[in-house]
Amino acid sequence: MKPDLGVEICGLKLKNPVMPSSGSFGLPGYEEYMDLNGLGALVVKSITLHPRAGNPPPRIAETTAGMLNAVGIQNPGVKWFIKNDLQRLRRFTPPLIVSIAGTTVEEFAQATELLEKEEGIAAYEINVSCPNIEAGGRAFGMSAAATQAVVAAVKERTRRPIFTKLTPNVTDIVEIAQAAVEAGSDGLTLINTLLGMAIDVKLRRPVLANVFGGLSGPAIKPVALRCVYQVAQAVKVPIIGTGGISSATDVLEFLLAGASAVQVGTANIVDPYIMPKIIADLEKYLEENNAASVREYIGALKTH
Amino acid sequence: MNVSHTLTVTKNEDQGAGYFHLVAQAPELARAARPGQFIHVHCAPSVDPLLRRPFSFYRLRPEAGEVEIYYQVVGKGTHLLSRIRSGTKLDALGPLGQGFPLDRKAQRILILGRGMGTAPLIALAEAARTQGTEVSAILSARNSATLVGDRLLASWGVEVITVTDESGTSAPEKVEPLVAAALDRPGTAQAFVCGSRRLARLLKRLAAARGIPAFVSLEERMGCGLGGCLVCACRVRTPEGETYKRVCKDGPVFPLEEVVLG
Repeated sequence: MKPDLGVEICGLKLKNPVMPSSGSFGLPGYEEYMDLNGLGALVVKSITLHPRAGNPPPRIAETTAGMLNAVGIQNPGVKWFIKNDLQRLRRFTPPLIVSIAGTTVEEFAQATELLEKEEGIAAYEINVSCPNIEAGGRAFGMSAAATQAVVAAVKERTRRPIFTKLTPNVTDIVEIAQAAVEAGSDGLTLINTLLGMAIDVKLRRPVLANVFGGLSGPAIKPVALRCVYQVAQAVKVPIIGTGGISSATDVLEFLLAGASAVQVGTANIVDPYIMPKIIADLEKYLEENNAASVREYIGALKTH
Repeated sequence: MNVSHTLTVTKNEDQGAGYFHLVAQAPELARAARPGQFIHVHCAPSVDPLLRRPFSFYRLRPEAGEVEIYYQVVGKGTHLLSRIRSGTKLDALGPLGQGFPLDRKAQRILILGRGMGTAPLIALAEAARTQGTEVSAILSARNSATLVGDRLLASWGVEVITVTDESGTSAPEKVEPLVAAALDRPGTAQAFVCGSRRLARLLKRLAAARGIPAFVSLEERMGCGLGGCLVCACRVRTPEGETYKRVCKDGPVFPLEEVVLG
């Protein structure tokens, strides 16, 4: 019998636990290159109330086993998204998760109100953790009180599940996770990118026009695993794990650490076809290891 | 459309001055690709370097099932690529991006390239010559060793003017009369530039003054190559004001009048 790859998070039924991380995978857009219906869920690039042009280039710097990005939440704004992208994305079968970002609590609230009127959205991801939206890499997610304010404002305006996406750029991620859950976050996504920088010695300049950027890719996987494990020990809500995942065994590591589903980010940028491969490999791995369901791995880490 | 291809390298030859010429078997890709488009190559099966490297097509030879690129070793990725031997399989995405909008009825076109940036213009010139279009070429480089494609162009009957830093002939004020004269030749219907912002600015001004459509192929650090990650931004002017477009998906070829050349 084929192993069962299905998972359920906050009422969302996913046929497998693999979805793209926000901003790493063109949605809409990539339906031109592959069948999107094989994915566990679809997560769009963060939308803000007003359109954002994004940061000047260069916006990317390659690092050892990773990359820095400073795109700056370039997006057409929520109204354009609803009128255009959402119409295209509704056609696909995996649950659609809309990521919301903003520079004020009010912007998150207003964007949620507009999206809430629309059909075809399964859940929201609240991006309080982008290091590129404010000067100096600041983010709401660096403060428990600010995280709580954003989450509460969104929660008040929706009946859909919300996943708050947390930043690792904090002293204690557990404290922020608990604050988000107390404010009504139904689940958590972790982690967003690590704040970093790269320098061009010849030019004596930062590589990124924005100076700072978010570090992602295989280099950050150990940090992400540690964060997922710590938070899973402290909260009861489902966790979507993300950070450097590029293989089926990476997925299982995150599930063992306590995640119920995962997001693939930078690996999509290297290989747009990586998620279907990971899903196929995951099924194969479970079959070879006599596991009836992927759910057997969730939180099943042995520490004694 | 599946854009994932496995290329078999048949030649990867040192051309001197850090330049390499790579030829690969990829019949499907060779058939589907157009001049100005590019392939996004995983230079080594490794996480360091992690990202792919974009290369415009230097030549497309569908009849031989081959694509060719011409590249300069500048970093870790291109260094690893330069060490690949004939017979090696390469993982590449392509053909990606928007190619050169070559007018089928153009009597003559002008190509203006500097250094490595000349590579995509060679594929364009070959397509132009194949359809019977005349080509004027002005090629710029640091020195004669870093000129790209000049002999190949000449073998197709293209009139090639070369200018170099070494000979003191490549400064914009010296190139300007050459470009102006080429644009003023009867029948010149389009102009294309790649490899230098200064030359692009020059062509933009001179072509606009004459009402000749002109296009630039832009380079920028890329991520996904498919328009998904938004890292390869270029500033463009639209009726609604200035905004960013994606070099990989909306370009790499853009109308010069649209691009803001900083």
